[in-house]
Amino acid sequence: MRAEEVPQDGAYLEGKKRGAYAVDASGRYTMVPTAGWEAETAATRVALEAADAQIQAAHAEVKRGAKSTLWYHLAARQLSTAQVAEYAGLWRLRVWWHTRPGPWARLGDAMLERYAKALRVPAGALKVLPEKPESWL
Amino acid sequence: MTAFTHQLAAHCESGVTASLLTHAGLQLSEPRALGIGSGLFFVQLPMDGLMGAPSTSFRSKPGNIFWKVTRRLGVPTRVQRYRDPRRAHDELLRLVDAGQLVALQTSVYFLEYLPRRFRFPFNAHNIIIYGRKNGRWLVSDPVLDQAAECDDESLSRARFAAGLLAPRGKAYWVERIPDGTASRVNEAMAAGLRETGFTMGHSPIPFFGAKAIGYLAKRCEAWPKRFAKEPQKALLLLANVVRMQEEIGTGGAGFRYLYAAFLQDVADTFGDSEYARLSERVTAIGDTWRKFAGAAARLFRGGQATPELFAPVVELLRGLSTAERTLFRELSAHGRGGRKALPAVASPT
Repeated sequence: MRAEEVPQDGAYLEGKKRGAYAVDASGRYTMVPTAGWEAETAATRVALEAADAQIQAAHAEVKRGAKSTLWYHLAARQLSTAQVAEYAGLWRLRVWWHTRPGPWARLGDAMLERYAKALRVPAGALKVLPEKPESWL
Repeated sequence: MTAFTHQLAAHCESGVTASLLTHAGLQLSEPRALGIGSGLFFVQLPMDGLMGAPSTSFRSKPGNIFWKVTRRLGVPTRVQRYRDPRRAHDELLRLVDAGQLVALQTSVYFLEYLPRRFRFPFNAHNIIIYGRKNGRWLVSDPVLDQAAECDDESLSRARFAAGLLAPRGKAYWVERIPDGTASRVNEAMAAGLRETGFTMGHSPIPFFGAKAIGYLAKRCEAWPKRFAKEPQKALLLLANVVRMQEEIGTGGAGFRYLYAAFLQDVADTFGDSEYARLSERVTAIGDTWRKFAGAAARLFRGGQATPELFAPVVELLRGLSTAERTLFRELSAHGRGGRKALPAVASPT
Protein backbone atom coordinates (compact mmCIF):
# COMPACT_ATOMS: atom_id res chain seq x y z
CA MET A 1 0.00 0.00 0.00
CA ARG A 2 1.31 3.46 -0.87
CA ALA A 3 1.17 6.28 1.67
CA GLU A 4 -1.24 8.37 -0.44
CA GLU A 5 -3.53 5.33 -0.79
CA VAL A 6 -4.04 4.89 2.97
CA PRO A 7 -7.81 5.17 3.38
CA GLN A 8 -9.26 8.02 5.44
CA ASP A 9 -12.90 6.98 5.43
CA GLY A 10 -13.82 7.89 9.00
CA ALA A 11 -16.96 6.38 10.55
CA TYR A 12 -16.43 4.11 13.57
CA LEU A 13 -13.18 5.61 14.84
CA GLU A 14 -15.12 8.73 15.91
CA GLY A 15 -12.49 11.15 14.66
CA LYS A 16 -9.61 9.36 16.36
CA LYS A 17 -6.76 7.98 14.28
CA ARG A 18 -4.95 4.70 14.11
CA GLY A 19 -1.62 3.71 12.63
CA ALA A 20 -1.12 2.04 9.26
CA TYR A 21 2.12 1.15 7.52
CA ALA A 22 2.63 2.18 3.89
CA VAL A 23 5.46 2.95 1.48
CA ASP A 24 6.29 6.58 0.73
CA ALA A 25 7.42 8.04 -2.61
CA SER A 26 10.98 6.75 -2.17
CA GLY A 27 9.80 3.20 -1.47
CA ARG A 28 10.50 3.33 2.28
CA TYR A 29 7.97 2.14 4.82
CA THR A 30 6.51 4.77 7.13
CA MET A 31 3.67 4.99 9.59
CA VAL A 32 0.66 6.90 8.29
CA PRO A 33 -2.26 7.81 10.57
CA THR A 34 -5.56 6.54 9.21
CA ALA A 35 -9.12 7.55 10.04
CA GLY A 36 -10.49 4.14 9.04
CA TRP A 37 -11.27 2.09 5.95
CA GLU A 38 -14.76 1.49 4.61
CA ALA A 39 -14.07 -2.25 4.10
CA GLU A 40 -13.34 -2.70 7.79
CA THR A 41 -16.32 -0.53 8.67
CA ALA A 42 -18.49 -2.85 6.56
CA ALA A 43 -17.10 -5.88 8.41
CA THR A 44 -17.66 -4.27 11.80
CA ARG A 45 -21.17 -3.37 10.75
CA VAL A 46 -21.98 -7.03 10.04
CA ALA A 47 -20.84 -7.91 13.57
CA LEU A 48 -22.79 -5.01 15.09
CA GLU A 49 -25.90 -6.04 13.18
CA ALA A 50 -25.56 -9.55 14.59
CA ALA A 51 -25.30 -8.10 18.10
CA ASP A 52 -28.32 -5.93 17.40
CA ALA A 53 -30.40 -8.88 16.24
CA GLN A 54 -29.47 -10.70 19.44
CA ILE A 55 -30.54 -7.75 21.60
CA GLN A 56 -33.83 -7.45 19.74
CA ALA A 57 -34.52 -11.16 20.13
CA ALA A 58 -33.82 -10.91 23.87
CA HIS A 59 -36.09 -7.86 24.12
CA ALA A 60 -38.90 -9.77 22.42
CA GLU A 61 -38.44 -12.78 24.69
CA VAL A 62 -38.64 -10.64 27.83
CA LYS A 63 -41.68 -8.82 26.50
CA ARG A 64 -43.35 -12.17 25.89
CA GLY A 65 -42.67 -13.08 29.54
CA ALA A 66 -40.43 -16.03 28.68
CA LYS A 67 -37.35 -14.49 30.29
CA SER A 68 -36.55 -11.99 33.03
CA THR A 69 -35.30 -8.47 32.35
CA LEU A 70 -31.84 -9.68 33.36
CA TRP A 71 -31.77 -11.61 30.06
CA TYR A 72 -32.31 -8.41 28.15
CA HIS A 73 -29.64 -6.49 30.07
CA LEU A 74 -27.13 -9.28 29.48
CA ALA A 75 -27.78 -9.12 25.73
CA ALA A 76 -27.66 -5.32 25.70
CA ARG A 77 -24.21 -5.41 27.37
CA GLN A 78 -23.14 -8.33 25.12
CA LEU A 79 -22.17 -10.41 28.14
CA SER A 80 -22.63 -14.13 28.66
CA THR A 81 -24.09 -15.64 31.81
CA ALA A 82 -20.64 -17.07 32.55
CA GLN A 83 -18.98 -13.66 32.47
CA VAL A 84 -21.61 -12.04 34.67
CA ALA A 85 -21.38 -14.97 37.08
CA GLU A 86 -17.69 -14.24 37.49
CA TYR A 87 -18.16 -10.49 37.88
CA ALA A 88 -20.94 -10.91 40.44
CA GLY A 89 -19.23 -13.79 42.22
CA LEU A 90 -22.10 -16.20 41.64
CA TRP A 91 -22.48 -19.64 40.22
CA ARG A 92 -23.28 -19.75 36.53
CA LEU A 93 -26.33 -21.87 37.21
CA ARG A 94 -27.62 -19.27 39.63
CA VAL A 95 -27.35 -16.54 36.98
CA TRP A 96 -29.21 -18.79 34.59
CA TRP A 97 -31.87 -19.31 37.28
CA HIS A 98 -32.24 -15.53 37.57
CA THR A 99 -32.88 -15.21 33.83
CA ARG A 100 -36.28 -16.81 34.57
CA PRO A 101 -39.04 -14.30 35.30
CA GLY A 102 -40.32 -15.92 38.54
CA PRO A 103 -37.07 -16.19 40.51
CA TRP A 104 -35.96 -12.77 39.21
CA ALA A 105 -39.12 -11.08 40.50
CA ARG A 106 -38.50 -12.50 44.01
CA LEU A 107 -34.88 -11.29 44.09
CA GLY A 108 -33.73 -9.34 47.17
CA ASP A 109 -32.14 -5.91 47.07
CA ALA A 110 -28.68 -7.14 48.04
CA MET A 111 -28.53 -9.55 45.11
CA LEU A 112 -29.91 -6.92 42.78
CA GLU A 113 -27.13 -4.60 43.88
CA ARG A 114 -24.56 -7.27 43.00
CA TYR A 115 -25.96 -7.54 39.50
CA ALA A 116 -26.06 -3.76 39.19
CA LYS A 117 -22.35 -3.58 40.03
CA ALA A 118 -21.43 -6.44 37.70
CA LEU A 119 -23.39 -5.02 34.77
CA ARG A 120 -22.74 -1.36 35.54
CA VAL A 121 -26.46 -0.60 35.32
CA PRO A 122 -28.28 1.26 38.15
CA ALA A 123 -30.13 -1.25 40.34
CA GLY A 124 -33.41 0.55 39.68
CA ALA A 125 -33.08 0.10 35.93
CA LEU A 126 -32.35 -3.62 36.11
CA LYS A 127 -35.92 -4.71 36.72
CA VAL A 128 -37.30 -2.49 33.97
CA LEU A 129 -37.48 -3.39 30.29
CA PRO A 130 -36.81 -0.31 28.17
CA GLU A 131 -39.51 0.63 25.68
CA LYS A 132 -37.12 0.12 22.77
CA PRO A 133 -34.12 -2.22 22.66
CA GLU A 134 -30.72 -0.58 22.88
CA SER A 135 -28.75 -0.45 19.65
CA TRP A 136 -25.04 -0.91 19.05
CA LEU A 137 -25.23 0.37 15.48
CA MET B 1 14.44 9.15 33.86
CA THR B 2 13.29 11.16 30.86
CA ALA B 3 9.71 12.21 30.26
CA PHE B 4 7.55 9.70 28.43
CA THR B 5 6.26 10.59 24.97
CA HIS B 6 3.20 8.83 23.61
CA GLN B 7 3.86 7.09 20.32
CA LEU B 8 1.21 5.97 17.87
CA ALA B 9 1.66 2.37 16.76
CA ALA B 10 -0.19 0.00 14.47
CA HIS B 11 -0.54 -2.86 16.91
CA CYS B 12 -0.95 -2.76 20.65
CA GLU B 13 1.59 -5.33 21.76
CA SER B 14 4.43 -4.47 19.39
CA GLY B 15 3.75 -0.79 20.13
CA VAL B 16 3.89 -1.35 23.89
CA THR B 17 7.08 -3.41 23.61
CA ALA B 18 8.76 -0.78 21.42
CA SER B 19 7.67 2.03 23.75
CA LEU B 20 8.81 0.27 26.94
CA LEU B 21 12.24 -0.55 25.56
CA THR B 22 12.73 2.84 23.93
CA HIS B 23 11.84 4.58 27.18
CA ALA B 24 14.22 2.33 29.12
CA GLY B 25 17.04 3.39 26.83
CA LEU B 26 17.13 0.99 23.88
CA GLN B 27 15.85 2.62 20.69
CA LEU B 28 13.51 0.05 19.10
CA SER B 29 11.01 0.63 16.30
CA GLU B 30 7.63 -1.08 16.16
CA PRO B 31 8.44 -3.21 13.05
CA ARG B 32 11.57 -4.41 14.84
CA ALA B 33 9.58 -5.36 17.91
CA LEU B 34 7.18 -7.35 15.74
CA GLY B 35 9.99 -8.99 13.77
CA ILE B 36 12.20 -9.91 16.73
CA GLY B 37 9.18 -11.10 18.68
CA SER B 38 7.94 -13.22 15.73
CA GLY B 39 4.52 -11.59 16.03
CA LEU B 40 3.38 -12.47 12.52
CA PHE B 41 1.53 -15.73 12.43
CA PHE B 42 -1.62 -17.33 11.10
CA VAL B 43 -4.04 -19.55 12.96
CA GLN B 44 -7.25 -21.12 11.75
CA LEU B 45 -8.84 -23.50 14.21
CA PRO B 46 -11.30 -26.20 13.13
CA MET B 47 -14.38 -24.53 14.62
CA ASP B 48 -16.39 -21.40 13.86
CA GLY B 49 -15.69 -19.60 17.09
CA LEU B 50 -14.01 -19.86 20.44
CA MET B 51 -16.19 -18.74 23.35
CA GLY B 52 -17.65 -15.99 21.21
CA ALA B 53 -14.31 -14.97 19.66
CA PRO B 54 -13.36 -15.70 16.03
CA SER B 55 -11.24 -18.80 15.45
CA THR B 56 -8.98 -17.01 12.96
CA SER B 57 -5.92 -15.09 14.06
CA PHE B 58 -3.14 -13.22 12.32
CA ARG B 59 -0.98 -12.99 15.41
CA SER B 60 0.87 -15.19 17.82
CA LYS B 61 -0.37 -15.75 21.34
CA PRO B 62 -0.92 -12.48 23.24
CA GLY B 63 2.11 -11.76 25.41
CA ASN B 64 4.51 -13.56 23.09
CA ILE B 65 5.94 -10.49 21.39
CA PHE B 66 7.06 -8.86 24.62
CA TRP B 67 8.33 -12.13 26.02
CA LYS B 68 10.34 -13.10 22.93
CA VAL B 69 11.78 -9.64 22.30
CA THR B 70 13.07 -9.28 25.84
CA ARG B 71 14.35 -12.88 25.96
CA ARG B 72 16.17 -12.55 22.65
CA LEU B 73 17.74 -9.27 23.70
CA GLY B 74 18.50 -10.51 27.21
CA VAL B 75 16.58 -7.69 28.88
CA PRO B 76 15.40 -8.41 32.45
CA THR B 77 11.67 -7.92 32.92
CA ARG B 78 8.98 -8.56 35.46
CA VAL B 79 5.60 -10.08 34.69
CA GLN B 80 3.11 -10.00 37.53
CA ARG B 81 -0.42 -11.27 37.84
CA TYR B 82 -2.72 -10.52 40.73
CA ARG B 83 -5.62 -12.15 42.42
CA ASP B 84 -6.80 -9.16 44.38
CA PRO B 85 -7.79 -6.01 42.42
CA ARG B 86 -7.07 -3.91 45.50
CA ARG B 87 -3.46 -5.10 45.65
CA ALA B 88 -3.05 -4.75 41.90
CA HIS B 89 -4.14 -1.12 42.22
CA ASP B 90 -1.80 -0.38 45.14
CA GLU B 91 1.19 -1.97 43.44
CA LEU B 92 0.53 -0.08 40.24
CA LEU B 93 0.34 3.13 42.22
CA ARG B 94 3.64 2.37 43.92
CA LEU B 95 5.37 1.54 40.63
CA VAL B 96 4.05 4.56 38.80
CA ASP B 97 5.03 6.85 41.70
CA ALA B 98 8.54 5.45 41.48
CA GLY B 99 8.64 6.54 37.83
CA GLN B 100 8.31 3.02 36.39
CA LEU B 101 6.54 2.61 33.07
CA VAL B 102 4.09 -0.27 33.48
CA ALA B 103 2.25 -2.15 30.72
CA LEU B 104 -1.05 -3.84 31.46
CA GLN B 105 -3.13 -6.47 29.74
CA THR B 106 -6.71 -5.24 29.63
CA SER B 107 -10.11 -5.86 28.12
CA VAL B 108 -11.15 -3.23 25.57
CA TYR B 109 -14.73 -3.68 26.75
CA PHE B 110 -14.15 -1.51 29.83
CA LEU B 111 -11.83 1.15 28.41
CA GLU B 112 -14.12 4.10 28.04
CA TYR B 113 -11.75 6.33 26.10
CA LEU B 114 -11.90 3.96 23.08
CA PRO B 115 -14.48 4.46 20.32
CA ARG B 116 -17.74 2.80 21.34
CA ARG B 117 -17.97 0.35 18.44
CA PHE B 118 -14.58 -1.18 19.20
CA ARG B 119 -15.43 -2.00 22.80
CA PHE B 120 -16.38 -5.63 22.29
CA PRO B 121 -15.30 -8.22 24.89
CA PHE B 122 -11.69 -8.81 23.82
CA ASN B 123 -9.27 -9.44 26.67
CA ALA B 124 -5.77 -9.09 25.25
CA HIS B 125 -5.34 -5.38 24.67
CA ASN B 126 -2.06 -3.93 25.88
CA ILE B 127 -1.69 -0.41 27.23
CA ILE B 128 0.95 1.57 29.11
CA ILE B 129 0.32 3.49 32.32
CA TYR B 130 2.78 6.35 32.48
CA GLY B 131 1.46 8.51 35.30
CA ARG B 132 -1.37 9.65 37.47
CA LYS B 133 -3.12 13.00 37.59
CA ASN B 134 -6.09 14.11 39.73
CA GLY B 135 -6.86 10.53 40.72
CA ARG B 136 -6.96 9.29 37.13
CA TRP B 137 -4.47 7.10 35.30
CA LEU B 138 -2.56 8.54 32.36
CA VAL B 139 -2.81 5.93 29.65
CA SER B 140 -0.70 5.59 26.54
CA ASP B 141 -2.75 3.37 24.26
CA PRO B 142 -0.50 2.65 21.28
CA VAL B 143 -3.34 2.16 18.82
CA LEU B 144 -4.62 5.72 19.32
CA ASP B 145 -2.85 8.87 18.16
CA GLN B 146 -3.51 10.68 21.46
CA ALA B 147 -2.67 9.73 25.03
CA ALA B 148 -5.77 9.11 27.15
CA GLU B 149 -7.01 9.01 30.73
CA CYS B 150 -8.85 6.32 32.61
CA ASP B 151 -10.52 6.17 36.03
CA ASP B 152 -9.75 3.59 38.72
CA GLU B 153 -12.97 1.67 38.41
CA SER B 154 -12.82 1.15 34.63
CA LEU B 155 -9.17 0.18 34.69
CA SER B 156 -9.73 -2.28 37.50
CA ARG B 157 -12.63 -3.88 35.62
CA ALA B 158 -10.54 -3.97 32.44
CA ARG B 159 -7.65 -5.69 34.24
CA PHE B 160 -9.88 -8.28 35.86
CA ALA B 161 -12.22 -9.04 32.97
CA ALA B 162 -13.54 -12.59 32.65
CA GLY B 163 -13.64 -14.84 29.62
CA LEU B 164 -11.16 -16.13 27.04
CA LEU B 165 -7.56 -14.98 27.67
CA ALA B 166 -8.59 -13.35 30.94
CA PRO B 167 -5.83 -10.89 31.91
CA ARG B 168 -5.98 -11.72 35.65
CA GLY B 169 -4.45 -8.35 36.41
CA LYS B 170 -1.35 -8.94 34.30
CA ALA B 171 1.21 -6.16 34.57
CA TYR B 172 4.68 -6.22 33.05
CA TRP B 173 7.63 -3.90 32.80
CA VAL B 174 11.26 -3.62 31.79
CA GLU B 175 13.63 -3.50 34.76
CA ARG B 176 16.72 -2.12 33.05
CA ILE B 177 18.68 -2.35 29.81
CA PRO B 178 21.96 -4.20 30.46
CA ASP B 179 25.18 -2.93 28.87
CA GLY B 180 25.80 -4.29 25.41
CA THR B 181 22.16 -4.95 24.61
CA ALA B 182 22.42 -2.87 21.43
CA SER B 183 25.03 -5.29 20.08
CA ARG B 184 22.60 -8.19 20.46
CA VAL B 185 19.92 -6.64 18.25
CA ASN B 186 21.18 -8.17 14.99
CA GLU B 187 21.33 -11.63 16.46
CA ALA B 188 17.82 -11.19 17.88
CA MET B 189 16.51 -10.06 14.48
CA ALA B 190 17.97 -13.19 12.84
CA ALA B 191 16.34 -15.36 15.52
CA GLY B 192 12.97 -13.69 14.92
CA LEU B 193 13.29 -14.22 11.17
CA ARG B 194 14.16 -17.90 11.59
CA GLU B 195 11.20 -18.55 13.82
CA THR B 196 8.67 -16.79 11.58
CA GLY B 197 10.08 -18.54 8.51
CA PHE B 198 9.63 -21.89 10.19
CA THR B 199 6.21 -21.38 11.81
CA MET B 200 4.71 -19.81 8.71
CA GLY B 201 6.36 -21.90 6.00
CA HIS B 202 7.01 -25.26 7.61
CA SER B 203 4.43 -25.71 10.36
CA PRO B 204 3.66 -29.42 10.56
CA ILE B 205 0.20 -28.71 11.98
CA PRO B 206 -2.36 -27.69 9.36
CA PHE B 207 -4.09 -25.17 11.66
CA PHE B 208 -1.02 -22.94 11.89
CA GLY B 209 1.11 -21.08 9.38
CA ALA B 210 0.57 -20.31 5.71
CA LYS B 211 -1.01 -23.72 5.12
CA ALA B 212 -3.82 -22.73 7.48
CA ILE B 213 -4.79 -19.94 5.05
CA GLY B 214 -5.67 -22.70 2.59
CA TYR B 215 -7.60 -24.39 5.37
CA LEU B 216 -9.48 -21.13 5.96
CA ALA B 217 -10.25 -21.00 2.21
CA LYS B 218 -11.73 -24.48 2.45
CA ARG B 219 -13.88 -23.58 5.45
CA CYS B 220 -14.90 -20.31 3.82
CA GLU B 221 -16.01 -22.18 0.70
CA ALA B 222 -18.36 -24.31 2.79
CA TRP B 223 -20.08 -21.44 4.67
CA PRO B 224 -22.63 -20.42 1.99
CA LYS B 225 -23.75 -24.04 1.67
CA ARG B 226 -23.84 -24.67 5.40
CA PHE B 227 -25.82 -21.51 6.11
CA ALA B 228 -27.95 -21.58 2.97
CA LYS B 229 -31.00 -20.56 5.02
CA GLU B 230 -29.30 -17.81 7.01
CA PRO B 231 -26.79 -15.93 4.80
CA GLN B 232 -26.14 -13.44 7.60
CA LYS B 233 -24.32 -16.17 9.53
CA ALA B 234 -22.00 -16.97 6.63
CA LEU B 235 -21.32 -13.26 6.19
CA LEU B 236 -20.68 -12.84 9.91
CA LEU B 237 -18.01 -15.54 9.84
CA LEU B 238 -16.34 -13.91 6.85
CA ALA B 239 -16.65 -10.50 8.53
CA ASN B 240 -14.84 -11.87 11.57
CA VAL B 241 -11.86 -12.80 9.38
CA VAL B 242 -11.75 -9.28 7.94
CA ARG B 243 -12.06 -7.79 11.44
CA MET B 244 -9.13 -9.85 12.69
CA GLN B 245 -7.19 -8.74 9.64
CA GLU B 246 -7.88 -5.01 9.78
CA GLU B 247 -9.92 -3.70 12.64
CA ILE B 248 -8.06 -4.90 15.70
CA GLY B 249 -5.00 -2.83 14.80
CA THR B 250 -2.56 -4.63 12.55
CA GLY B 251 -1.11 -1.76 10.51
CA GLY B 252 -3.08 -3.06 7.53
CA ALA B 253 -3.39 -6.47 5.86
CA GLY B 254 -3.01 -8.55 9.01
CA PHE B 255 0.53 -7.38 9.94
CA ARG B 256 1.87 -7.98 6.41
CA TYR B 257 2.80 -4.34 5.85
CA LEU B 258 4.37 -4.13 9.27
CA TYR B 259 6.40 -7.22 8.47
CA ALA B 260 7.44 -5.83 5.09
CA ALA B 261 8.70 -2.76 6.96
CA PHE B 262 10.71 -5.07 9.22
CA LEU B 263 12.22 -6.91 6.24
CA GLN B 264 13.22 -3.58 4.71
CA ASP B 265 14.93 -2.73 7.98
CA VAL B 266 16.67 -6.13 7.99
CA ALA B 267 17.91 -5.58 4.44
CA ASP B 268 19.54 -2.29 5.49
CA THR B 269 20.93 -3.58 8.77
CA PHE B 270 22.37 -6.79 7.36
CA GLY B 271 23.28 -5.22 4.02
CA ASP B 272 21.51 -8.08 2.28
CA SER B 273 19.43 -7.10 -0.75
CA GLU B 274 17.64 -10.47 -0.77
CA TYR B 275 15.59 -9.26 2.21
CA ALA B 276 14.62 -6.13 0.26
CA ARG B 277 13.24 -8.34 -2.50
CA LEU B 278 11.37 -10.46 0.04
CA SER B 279 10.00 -7.25 1.57
CA GLU B 280 8.57 -6.19 -1.77
CA ARG B 281 6.90 -9.55 -2.14
CA VAL B 282 5.39 -9.30 1.33
CA THR B 283 4.01 -5.88 0.32
CA ALA B 284 2.41 -7.47 -2.76
CA ILE B 285 0.93 -10.21 -0.55
CA GLY B 286 -0.39 -7.50 1.78
CA ASP B 287 -2.05 -5.79 -1.19
CA THR B 288 -3.76 -9.08 -2.02
CA TRP B 289 -5.02 -9.34 1.57
CA ARG B 290 -6.47 -5.83 1.19
CA LYS B 291 -8.08 -6.93 -2.07
CA PHE B 292 -9.58 -9.87 -0.21
CA ALA B 293 -11.01 -7.52 2.44
CA GLY B 294 -12.40 -5.24 -0.26
CA ALA B 295 -14.07 -8.13 -2.08
CA ALA B 296 -15.50 -9.39 1.22
CA ALA B 297 -16.84 -5.90 2.00
CA ARG B 298 -18.76 -5.92 -1.27
CA LEU B 299 -20.35 -9.19 -0.17
CA PHE B 300 -21.36 -7.65 3.18
CA ARG B 301 -23.03 -4.73 1.47
CA GLY B 302 -24.86 -7.08 -0.90
CA GLY B 303 -26.16 -9.11 2.04
CA GLN B 304 -26.18 -12.32 -0.04
CA ALA B 305 -24.14 -15.48 0.46
CA THR B 306 -24.05 -18.02 -2.35
CA PRO B 307 -21.21 -20.32 -3.41
CA GLU B 308 -20.85 -18.32 -6.64
CA LEU B 309 -20.48 -15.02 -4.78
CA PHE B 310 -17.99 -16.51 -2.33
CA ALA B 311 -15.88 -18.13 -5.07
CA PRO B 312 -13.62 -15.13 -5.89
CA VAL B 313 -12.94 -14.52 -2.19
CA VAL B 314 -12.05 -18.18 -1.67
CA GLU B 315 -9.80 -18.06 -4.71
CA LEU B 316 -7.91 -15.06 -3.31
CA LEU B 317 -7.33 -16.95 -0.05
CA ARG B 318 -6.04 -20.01 -1.91
CA GLY B 319 -3.60 -17.87 -3.85
CA LEU B 320 -2.45 -16.21 -0.63
CA SER B 321 -1.83 -19.56 0.99
CA THR B 322 0.47 -20.69 -1.82
CA ALA B 323 2.23 -17.34 -2.13
CA GLU B 324 2.93 -17.07 1.59
CA ARG B 325 4.03 -20.65 1.85
CA THR B 326 6.58 -20.15 -0.91
CA LEU B 327 7.74 -16.85 0.53
CA PHE B 328 8.22 -17.94 4.12
CA ARG B 329 10.00 -21.11 3.02
CA GLU B 330 12.45 -18.97 1.10
CA LEU B 331 12.80 -16.65 4.08
CA SER B 332 13.48 -19.63 6.31
CA ALA B 333 16.07 -21.09 3.89
CA HIS B 334 17.79 -17.73 3.46
CA GLY B 335 17.88 -17.22 7.22
CA ARG B 336 19.51 -20.63 7.67
CA GLY B 337 22.41 -19.67 5.43
CA GLY B 338 21.14 -19.69 1.89
CA ARG B 339 20.44 -23.38 1.65
CA LYS B 340 17.98 -24.16 -1.11
CA ALA B 341 14.35 -23.65 -0.14
CA LEU B 342 12.29 -26.79 0.09
CA PRO B 343 9.87 -26.72 -2.81
CA ALA B 344 6.48 -25.49 -1.69
CA VAL B 345 3.89 -27.77 -3.18
CA ALA B 346 0.48 -26.28 -3.88
CA SER B 347 -1.67 -26.37 -0.77
CA PRO B 348 -3.45 -29.74 -0.60
CA THR B 349 -6.69 -28.19 0.60
